[in-house]
Formats: sequence, structure tokens, C-alpha cells
Amino acid sequence: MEQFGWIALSFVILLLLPFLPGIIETILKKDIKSLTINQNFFKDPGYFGKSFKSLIKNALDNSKPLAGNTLKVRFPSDKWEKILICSDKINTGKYDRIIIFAEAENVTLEGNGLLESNYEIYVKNNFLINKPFFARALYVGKNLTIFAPFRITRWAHVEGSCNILDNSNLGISFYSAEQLQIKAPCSFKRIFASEIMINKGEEEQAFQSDPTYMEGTIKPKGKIDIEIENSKLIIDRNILSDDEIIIKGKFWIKGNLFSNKNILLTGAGGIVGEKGKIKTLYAKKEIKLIGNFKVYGYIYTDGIGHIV
Amino acid sequence: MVFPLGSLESSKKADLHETISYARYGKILSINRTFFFFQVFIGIVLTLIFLINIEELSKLIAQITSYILNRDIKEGLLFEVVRIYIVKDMGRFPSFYETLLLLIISILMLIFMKFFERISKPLKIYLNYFFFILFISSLYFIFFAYSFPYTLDDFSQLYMVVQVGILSFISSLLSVATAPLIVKPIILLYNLIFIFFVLIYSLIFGIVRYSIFLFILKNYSFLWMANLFFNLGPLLDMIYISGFYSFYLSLISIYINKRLRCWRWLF
Amino acid sequence: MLEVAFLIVFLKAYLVFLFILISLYIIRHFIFTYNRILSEQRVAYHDILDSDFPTVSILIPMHNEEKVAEDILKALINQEYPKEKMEIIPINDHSEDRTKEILERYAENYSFIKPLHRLGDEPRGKTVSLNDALRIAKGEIIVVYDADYLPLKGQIRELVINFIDPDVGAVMGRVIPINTPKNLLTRLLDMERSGGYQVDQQARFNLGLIPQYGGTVGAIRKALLIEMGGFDEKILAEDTEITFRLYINGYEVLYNNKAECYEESPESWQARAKQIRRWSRGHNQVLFKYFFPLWISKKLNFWQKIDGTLLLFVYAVPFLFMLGILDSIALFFLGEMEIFSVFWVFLALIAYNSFGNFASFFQIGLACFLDGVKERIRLLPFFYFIFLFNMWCTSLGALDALLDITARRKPNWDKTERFRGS
Repeated sequence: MEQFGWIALSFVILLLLPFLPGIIETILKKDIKSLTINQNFFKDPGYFGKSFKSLIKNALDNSKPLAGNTLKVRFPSDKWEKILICSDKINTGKYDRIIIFAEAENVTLEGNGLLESNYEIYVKNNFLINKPFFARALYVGKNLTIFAPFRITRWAHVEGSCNILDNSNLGISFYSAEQLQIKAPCSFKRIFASEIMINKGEEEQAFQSDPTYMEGTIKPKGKIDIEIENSKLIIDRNILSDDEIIIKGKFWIKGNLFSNKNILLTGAGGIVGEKGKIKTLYAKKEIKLIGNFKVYGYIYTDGIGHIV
Repeated sequence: MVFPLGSLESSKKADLHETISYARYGKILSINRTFFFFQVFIGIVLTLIFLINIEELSKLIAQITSYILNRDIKEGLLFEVVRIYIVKDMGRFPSFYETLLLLIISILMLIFMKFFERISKPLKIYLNYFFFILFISSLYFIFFAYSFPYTLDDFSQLYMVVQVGILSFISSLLSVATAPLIVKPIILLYNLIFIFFVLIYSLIFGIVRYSIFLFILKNYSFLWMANLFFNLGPLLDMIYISGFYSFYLSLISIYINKRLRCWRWLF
Repeated sequence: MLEVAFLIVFLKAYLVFLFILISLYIIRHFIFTYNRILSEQRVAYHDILDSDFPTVSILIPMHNEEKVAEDILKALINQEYPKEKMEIIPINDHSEDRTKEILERYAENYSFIKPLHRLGDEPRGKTVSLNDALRIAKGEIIVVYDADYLPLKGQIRELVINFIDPDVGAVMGRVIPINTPKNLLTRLLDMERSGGYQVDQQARFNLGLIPQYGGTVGAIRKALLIEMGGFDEKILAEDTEITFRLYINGYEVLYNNKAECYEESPESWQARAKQIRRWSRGHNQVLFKYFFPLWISKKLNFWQKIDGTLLLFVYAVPFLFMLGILDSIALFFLGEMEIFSVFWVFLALIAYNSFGNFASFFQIGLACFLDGVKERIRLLPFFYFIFLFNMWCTSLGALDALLDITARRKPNWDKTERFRGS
């Protein structure tokens, strides 16, 4: 009987063992919170720039001056960081803190080589990038012109228009409130502007004579491969596909383009969207734009986008 | 100068102040497919090895149990084909009064459960289930005691089949359930250690449970046999499998969740 | 003796049938889990920005919702959606508390809030309320929320944008419990929800099967809904009913895993029991209504029909399983437990049914893992305690549905109790 007592005890212990981590968690409640949802979230392509601008504004109100044009500012996380205040020029080189151009109307780069920063750069007015430029993020209060190789790892936000004339990598998100011109090879993830001109762009007037119309949203099963020869095609709604979308030729899609795979646009020039409206060109894996295009609104990929 | 084309993920870690993890709605695991299939293969092979060696496994369980209970072992034939070993012992039939008492207790408990509100509902339903089986069993022994179809050997044989089956089943089930976690080669090793641990536990638990069952059926009565099978049978095995799995998964979750390179975004 | 032999054959045959059925569900759970955690994910249209907004009517059925009414109204007023394109119709369904006053106060301040008061002899219930609201709704898209939900600022846009696809009849978002810390039950329900949405719904959407419209955090095309005759008032699970009606008519339900919304889980076992029983009753009503039309329809492919059938039977399986337990007990006392099939049947049955509500343990575990949950996953074995509970409540619901169809009863809506602020 005593032997049975030991067996019974072992049985109970073995029985409880798999529950033990659960029992401990029930008592200690280490992982008890609901999954977090940001209740204030809404889709805003200019979100990064807007929040950075307000962050900087608040931080400057809580700052301490240090020697050498440096300020020590407090961010909402209660973290103090050093930032560099510049007037209208900055030398190329490597920087390890946030740079702010708070006053000058026009800002340019000086020196030889590359400006490199793993931090954000804030320009209150116009910014002309005439030297190779590589930063984590960039905010420009007015217009931005880029004449040199340009790379952003996170985001860029331009409150005015933007002209990109050298090869570029636009990071995760590039926002321009007005017109954005990209006239050189470029890679990107998200680009937003009220009007995005790619290479030479495309004009609506080009579709005034003898266009072919397609009405309604196009959503066939499988791949979409449209080749327009010696004609101009106007599609008044959306093109949607769970597969690849390839369009070659001259086209004007007045709605959105959406693919759960890749989008390739090439040929004699095309327009996506309409003036005054916002439409989206989205491909999950890859967007390749070869030629002259105009997009009103948003170009977005979860993979990588190329402008050739 | 041409900057490399590429997304954030391809840029150097030094580019970033901190690592942003993927949103939960579209992240998937970036697994090593070779290791994945290797582990599933190992799991299936282990299952086959256990199934082929039913005889030896049953002998091991029976020998240790017989040692604990100080009994002998004997051979049995499963489906007149497979030889298995069980512990040799005799069970006990309940007396009429004992059965009647249990019948009354089970009826009273079922009535009590119906009207007792302070007990939580899941526990109440579980107790109802327990006393319902006890009620059926008592009723059976009151009217058909001598038609009871099992001897202790039959029960042992059934138990042994279940136990060996579960031991075989564990490696396949857990290898398939943990294979998607192999985002690093080291996790293959962790998975195999984990599966091995659960197998060892299952073997020990199977032996201890067998001893308890034999003791109850010998010293109390066959009346408890149905409850032992339906409450402490294969159901419990699934509980410890899920219990250990959940603990292991939570450890892997702590290990993997902050490592961006273990995950992929959407595709 | 012949009768006994026949009975034994029948009982064994039933277990074999159950074994096959449960095996199908196990395979399904494995496919879904693997698909979600390892394969390419299909995305909904939520990343599209489009300045052409359709008009939207947001319907919120409310019966004695004073504890939660203000929260949802505030969340909807806060929406980043053109107010001239949206209207909010809170449906006060015979409330006896302060719901009416709250709605009137908000309606005075916001012209786009247009409460509908259902009083007097009008029949009470979610579906009749929704149909009444449908008659006055002006939006092209109908969005439905239960009163305990808290939509985030961009959610209406996130749901509605999906209707740019003409094949989409309805859209469903993801539900996340807000009161998880409350007690063990709410923590377990949070895990169960993860399994259901993060894995099950998304995998069905990935695979082009039948994601389910859930009746809340969801939207439907109004013209289509009216053309199909509105919500079926005889059925308690109007969401599942709409799902099948849409598919049979050639439309699809789009699941948007990004459109997350907080809800309040039941905090007591009594409330949970009532909820499951109601779900089961409604779902089984849909099973009886759509099992044959599903297979006759030419609008669905073979795999959708298979998935649809398994989905229809989800709340019938626990009842069939309960019969399986009774069957096994009978076979046990008939001396037939040595048959090989019973052993395997038991393993399979338990593997499927022991853990959680209609999902196997690895599905729930890996769903939580994807959600970034860590220590909470350790509660997984506690699903054992709600296994019999779920089975019992679901079986009662299935019996209710059987009685509904045989006795031609019209079911009454039994609202889930709210706990906020208590």
C-alpha cells in the first residue's frame, strides 16, 4: 500500500507537470495584455514626415544649447538627443545626429564626396542636393531638387514639389505634396504625390484622338497581359488581378491598378488616375516602370519597385 | 556613384536606429526547407520504428510495471498477429452493495450538479461526464455483472495498444507541429530534443498510469474500468502533448519574435 | 442476437464515419496552419488609396447597450472618412435602459447619426433590426458593427475600399478581444480568436476558399443584399447565412486581416455558454438550409464546395462527437473495445476536439505565435477544461436547430451580456 502511495504521488505529479507553465502564467500574469491596436491609425502616406515635423517642433521647445551649433533636445520618450543646427550649407561627410536647417531659404551641400547620416535631416525651406546623399530620413518644408545620387533608408517628405534627376533609392516611403518628377533610374517601395511624372511623363491630350475605350473594372482570373499596338486604350475603372499584370503600349487607366504579384508597365507611355484625384498602383512583389508615365496618387509595393 | 537598389531589409543594420518588427497581419516565418523536410522525415521514421517494435516496447513497459507492482509478465496476441507483453494479474468484480452504493452516489451527484450553481460550468460539465460514466457502469454491473466482457488481461492488452500507439504517434505529430519553427538550424536540434523529452515523459507516464490502473482494477473493481479508459485514457495523452508543446512554443516565441531575420513579409 | 450484431456493426460503422470526418478536419487544420505560417499571403485591397469614396451606412444593432453605446459612437465619429459620405444608424431595439437617450443626444450633435428606434409590438432581434435599418439606409455599402466594438480611425476606409472589386459581395475584418486581461476565460478566448482569424480566415482567403463574413467588423454591398432579399429573419447566424448566399450567387467574401477591431469577449462561463449555443443553433440552421444548394451551385469550384461543407458542419461535429462518445461507451460495455479502429478513432477524435473551439492545439498555438504572444501560449492545455463545455453547449445549439426545423419554430435573439465598466 505504501508503494502504491508513491506511485499515486508520481502519477499526480506527472499529471500536473504539463499544466505547470500554464498555472505559473495564470498566477504571474506576465503576458496578459490584449493585442495592441493603434486606435488612431489611418492610412496616410505623409504620416512619417508629419509626425517627425511635430516631434521636432516640440523638441525644439524643450532644448538646451551646447557648444558648436549643437542643441540638446528632449523627445516625448523623455530621451535627450543632440542635434546639429545649420544655416544654409553643410559639408559632405559622416554625421551621427539629427541635422536641422531651421532658417535658410535655400540649402545646398558643399565639399567632395558623400553626405552620410544614419539620422534624420530637417530642412525648413528649399533643399538642393548637389552631392551624393545618403540619410535615414529627410523632411523638406518646400521644394526638393536632386542632382546627385540619392538614397534614403526610411522616408522622405517634401511639402512642395520634387525633382529627382539622378539615380535614387527612395527608401520605404517617399511623399511629395505637389508634383514629383523622377527622371533617372530609381528604386522605391512607396511613392506618393498629387502628380508623379516618370521620365518624360505623359499628357492627357495624347488620348484625345481615336482612343479605344474599355468600360468597367477588369478582373479576369489569372495573368493580365495587354499589348496595345498602334492604338490608345482608355480604361475607365480599375484593373485588378491576383496574378501578374503586364501592360505594353499607350494606355490611360482612370482607376487603380492592383496585383497580388507583379506589375510591369512599358511602352509608349501611360497614365494612371485622373487630375485632382488620388488613385493607386499596387503590386505585392514588384513594380517595374519602363518608359514615360504619369500617376496621380500612390505607387506602392511590398516588394521592390523600379523605374528604368 | 550608384547606390545599391534594395529595400530596407537589405540595408545594413547600422543604417537603423532600431529594428521595426513586421506587422502581425502579414508576417510569415522564413524557414529552412531542407531542415523542415528532414525533421518531418525523422518524425515519420521514428513512428515507423516504434510501430515495427511494438513487441519490444510493450515488453519494456510491461517489465518495468511488473517490477513496480511485483508481478510477472505474460505474452498476448494482438489481432492474432502481433505479439505484445502485458502484466499478469487478476482483477476484481464489485460486490452488489458496492455497486448499488456507487449507483446511488452517481445519481445523487448528477442531481446535485443540476442544481448546484456555484461550481463553474466547465467543471460541472466535466463532473457530469465523470458521474454519467460511473452511473452507466454501476447500472451495468447491477444487471449484467457476470456478462462483463473484459478480464484484466483484455484491459491490459487494450491499454498496451493505446500506449504504444501514442508513443508512435507523438514523434510524427510533434515533428509536423514544430517543423515550421525551423528558422535557424539550431532550432532543428531544439525540436528533436523536445520531441525526445516528450517521448521519455510519455513512456514514464504510460508506465505509472498502467501501474495505477492495474492497482485500481485489482483492489477496487472492474466497475472503474470505463472511467479509467474514458477519463484517464488517451485524452490525457493529448493534454500533456499540448501542454509541453505550448511551453516549448512560448520559449521559441520569446527567442524568435524580436529577430527580424527569422521572418518574411507577405511572401 | 441478430439485432445485437446489427447494432454493433452500426455502432462501429458510425465510429469509422466519424474517424473519416474528423481526419478531414485535422488535415484541413494542418493545411490552413502551414499555409498561414509559411506560404505567400494574399493581400486585400487595403493599401489602395482612392479619393472616390462610396457612400456608407453603418448599422449598429443595440439592445440595452448603455454600457458601450457611447464608446462605439465616439469611435465612429472619429473615423477618417468624409462625413458627407457616411451615415451612422444605431438601431435601438426595444432597449429598456439609457440607450435611447444616449443615441438621441448624439443625433442632436451630429447630423450623420440617425438613430432608428424599434419599440412596441415590433419583433425584437438582430436580423429584423438590420432589415428595418436597411430600408432607410442610403449608403451603397452597409457596414455592420456590434455595439461592443471599437473601430480604429481608418477602419471604414480599410473595409470599404475592397468593394472596388466587383466580385466582392462582403468584407470581413479581424476581431481582437479588448478585455483579455480580465480572467482565464477571456485569455483563452483571445487565443481562440487568434486561431480563428489569424490562421483560419486568412488561410481560406489565401487559398481562394470560403472566408466567413462574421456579422460585425464587416461590410456588404447594399444593392446586392437587397436583391438577395435582405437578412434571413428565421436564422440566428445571419452572418454565416449571408456568406453562403453570396457564394452560391457567385460573389465572394474578402477577408482583410489588417482591418483589426476590438470587441468585448464574454467574461463569464454563463455568457459564453449562451453565446456558443446561439452560434451553434444559427450555424446549424444554415447547414440545413445550404448543404444541398452549395453542392448544386455552379458558381463555386470543387474545393470551395469541400471547404464550404466542412465549414457548414463545424458546429455539427461536436454534436456528432458527443454521439461518438456515447457510441464508444456502448461498444465498451458490449465488449467491442478491442477493435483496432476504435483506438485510432479515439486518437483522431481527441486530437481534433480536445483543444479549443474547432481548432487543433497547433493551430491556436501557432496563431498566437504569429501574433507575437509569448507566455500566454502556455495556457494552451487549459483548453482541455473547455473541451467538454464547448461540446455540450454546441450540441445543445445543434439540437435547438433540429427542433427549429422540425417544429418550424422561430428562434428568439438572445443577446450576449456586456461587461464593460463592471
